[in-house]
Amino acid sequence: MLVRKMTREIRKNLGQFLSLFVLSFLAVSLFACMKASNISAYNKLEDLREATNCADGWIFSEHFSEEDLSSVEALSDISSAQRRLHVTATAEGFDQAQLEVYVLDEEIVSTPYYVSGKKMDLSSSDEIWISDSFAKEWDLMPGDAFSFSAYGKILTKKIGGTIVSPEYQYLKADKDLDIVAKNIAVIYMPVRGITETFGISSDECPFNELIFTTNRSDVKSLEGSLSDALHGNYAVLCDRDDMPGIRIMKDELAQHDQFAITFPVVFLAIALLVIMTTMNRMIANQRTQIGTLRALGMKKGKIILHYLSYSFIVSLLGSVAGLFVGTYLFGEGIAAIFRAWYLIPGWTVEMDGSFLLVVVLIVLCCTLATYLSCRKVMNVHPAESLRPAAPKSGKETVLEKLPFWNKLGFSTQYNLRDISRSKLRSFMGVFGTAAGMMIMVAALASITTIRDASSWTFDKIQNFKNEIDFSGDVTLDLAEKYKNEFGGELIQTSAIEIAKEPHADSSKKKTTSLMVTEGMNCYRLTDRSRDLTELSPGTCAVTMKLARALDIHEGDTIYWHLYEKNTWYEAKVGLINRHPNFSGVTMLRSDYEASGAAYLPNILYSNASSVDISGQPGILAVHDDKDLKESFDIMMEMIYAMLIVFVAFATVLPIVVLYNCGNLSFHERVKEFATLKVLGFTTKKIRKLLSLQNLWLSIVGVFLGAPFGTVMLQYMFDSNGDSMDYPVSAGFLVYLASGLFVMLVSVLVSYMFNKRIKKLDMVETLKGIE
Amino acid sequence: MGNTIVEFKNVNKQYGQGEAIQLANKDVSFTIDEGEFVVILGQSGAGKSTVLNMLGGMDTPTSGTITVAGQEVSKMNDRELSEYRAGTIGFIFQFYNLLPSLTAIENVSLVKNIVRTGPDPMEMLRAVGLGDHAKKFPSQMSGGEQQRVSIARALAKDPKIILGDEPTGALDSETGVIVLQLLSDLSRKQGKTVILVTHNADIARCADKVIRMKNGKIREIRINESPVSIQEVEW
Repeated sequence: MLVRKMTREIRKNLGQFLSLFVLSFLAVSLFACMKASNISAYNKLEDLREATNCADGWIFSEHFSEEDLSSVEALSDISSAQRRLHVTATAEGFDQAQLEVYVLDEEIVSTPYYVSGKKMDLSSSDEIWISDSFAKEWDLMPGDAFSFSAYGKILTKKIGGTIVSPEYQYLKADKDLDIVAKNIAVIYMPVRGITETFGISSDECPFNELIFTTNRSDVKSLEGSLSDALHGNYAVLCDRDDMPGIRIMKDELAQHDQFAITFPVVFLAIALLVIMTTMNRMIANQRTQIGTLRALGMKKGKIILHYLSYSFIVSLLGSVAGLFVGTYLFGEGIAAIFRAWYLIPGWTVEMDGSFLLVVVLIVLCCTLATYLSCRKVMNVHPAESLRPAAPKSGKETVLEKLPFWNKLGFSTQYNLRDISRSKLRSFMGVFGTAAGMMIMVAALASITTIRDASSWTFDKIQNFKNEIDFSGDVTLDLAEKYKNEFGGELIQTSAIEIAKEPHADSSKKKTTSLMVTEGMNCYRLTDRSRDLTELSPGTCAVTMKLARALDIHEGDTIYWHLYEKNTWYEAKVGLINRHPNFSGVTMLRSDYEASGAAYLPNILYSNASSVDISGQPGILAVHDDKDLKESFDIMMEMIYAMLIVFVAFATVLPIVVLYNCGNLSFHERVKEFATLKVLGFTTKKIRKLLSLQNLWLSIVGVFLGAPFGTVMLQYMFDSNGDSMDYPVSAGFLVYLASGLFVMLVSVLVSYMFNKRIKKLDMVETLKGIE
Repeated sequence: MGNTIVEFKNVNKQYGQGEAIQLANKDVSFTIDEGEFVVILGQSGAGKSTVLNMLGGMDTPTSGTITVAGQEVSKMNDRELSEYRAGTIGFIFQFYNLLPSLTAIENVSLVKNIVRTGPDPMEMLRAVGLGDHAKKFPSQMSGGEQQRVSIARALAKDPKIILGDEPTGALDSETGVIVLQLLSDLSRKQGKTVILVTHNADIARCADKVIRMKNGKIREIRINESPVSIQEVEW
């Protein structure tokens, strides 16, 4: 019988219970969609690493000998090791795609993951194995011929198969700002492919990487023994966190993990407020019913269980629906988007024990909130609960002590007192609107922030029309020749390690980038306030986030070495600068050359109106400023996709919350409204009275939520890692548009009550006490 | 007595549909003159509150006509009914129905939001003997005091007709007498038309006219030639 009572009452209070359903659905589905794709990514990544025996450590040098490999293999902590040659080459045709070529004489560590074709034959001299993503973009099949240039020679090989490299979940060409699969590939090639082409023995092959697996979790702790084994003859030791191809994917997944917690918490908090207010009202309204049930001899526990079942069932239904829709619809959608960017074979969606835990947690929280609501009435003596509750005590609010209180109109006084008496409901209204406003501001500010970063990049930092990328075989003379021809400024970018002391150990140094400019104003620097500034000769600039991470200040001395060399240099920090997409050190060519390091530019920034030199010696690619701006356009497209989701949430939240507030307020004051109607108040006037409160709560919510919108967005941008510096920019218009949107939702919600007020049956409402 | 202010003509009121039809009022016809103190008497379920609700513009008849002060209430739409309730009727409830979040004076002043003219709310509060309770909230007052605030609220609109649905039903005898005296004075001294619904036959002894109802029908309309004073009513 009580089940019938429950289903009928859920139907009667459909609005509130629907809100609870929606909120628990949103909380679980948001968690599930972020988490399901992540779990699959982690699992498939683990499978990939296991299948390919992915390296734990990378040692770079100019050359590793057979003896070096034997010494490393002999170390007790090393499970397996091998040498390889890594060279960056350029495709012949295929838009001169960037190729990361690995030359192998054995297949032990970080072996390719085969997608199509045959497995690698190490004795082959005319075959290569190429990235599956690249092959798909260019419609390349096993058996097709593929040419590329390396070390000044064009090599033509047959594609033996398509592969995925365990070291490149993130694979982006240097010339691109974002992932463009057709512009980059990883190639595995047996060593005979090099030795026969260049007429050298395999001993003469310059193996510049030594990769290994270990049972130690902290790879860097092996540095001492590795250094001894190699007699210090190496440049740098890296672990997986130092490898951009692995680290960026890891950061992305970590960001999703954070979102999987943050967003559901907001929705859960609102769901709990909805439950507490709804159940408080329902139980207060059913006080005499509860008294009757108890007078009839029903046990307290049974009555409590009956009321707990309301929120239990609704939140369980919402959570379970959220679990499946979130995982298999939203989650699959997220996985599909990210599959296009990151390379993990078999990446889809999966659930684990945490899903059940979240559902249990949300249902438990909702049920507990109900328990807290009904506990109060259960403690009242049955005889007492058979009588109506004492009227709410009327007492002066703090506001009434204000000198202008008496000058306020009836509606204002009435609503102010009602707010002071229904604090939880009012808090729910403010919190829900604030959350909606926060999301809305974040959504709109993401557009202005990207636009701002674009203008920062193209109007301030990049003062050139064309970017000419040199290939690996360019010489300084050739680069200078192009500079003389087209004018502009030569740039060298290199991977470096920096520290505050020379020869620092791994814990005190950081892998980053070096940019060497000629100070000719084509590439300009901006300071902390993002104003244009210049680098003083004899000093270097360090980007703000990197400086913060290493506690570097202007005037400090830093030490650095090129990634593949072991010679440390020192430089004085003259400027802490900012750049949206570059993190590292910038110095002038004169200072770089003075340090003794070999100078070889890889880019020419030119203001020449037309540069048509594609395919000429030493030229990798030429991009005009339109190409460069395209990367921002791609980013904007992503933002617009995200925007739709954000705006949907920013709409749903205030509707759910304000409708609930209005609904509760309406039910709590229905007798008062009926009285007002008898006194002659029109429907319009009563609706105004009801909506005024929602309007105030919305206004407070809008003001409280506004600043958190930019905080949330900054948190989201910052969670992309230290390589991005996107200061959130939200102008007055962003706040105005967001505020107006939320207020519009609030006003529309108030119209939802129009019909109910009009249809309010004065006689029925005023007839009984309950 | 003056002119006819209320006229019920063959009024029927039914609730429900099909087999579940319930007739609350059957062929109800009566008139009430301006300034009369009328009691509609009957047991629970007699249909007296339905008459009062239709008279107050809170409910509409199924058939028949209701005319109040020359206006045909039974034909009014929602908006006209609001205006009618605001301008013509002062309603007093059994359970007072004061707004708990407003003080006594604010509850009375409330009607100034709909009727700009009429007496000063504070004066009305003084008239019911609650001048010094103006800043009290309903929960800080006794039932009798709350009902007097409710009367002051009804009077503040300066209505032509005051309707009371068991206005003393929730009060003890001593307080009930005070409230009845106030209502009687409104009729006798101020010339207001006062119509009360009650099941208490003793109260009917004070009225100018008694309309007795049973099973939704009018059983008797009796003019009381010599109404007794409120003080003489036994509870």
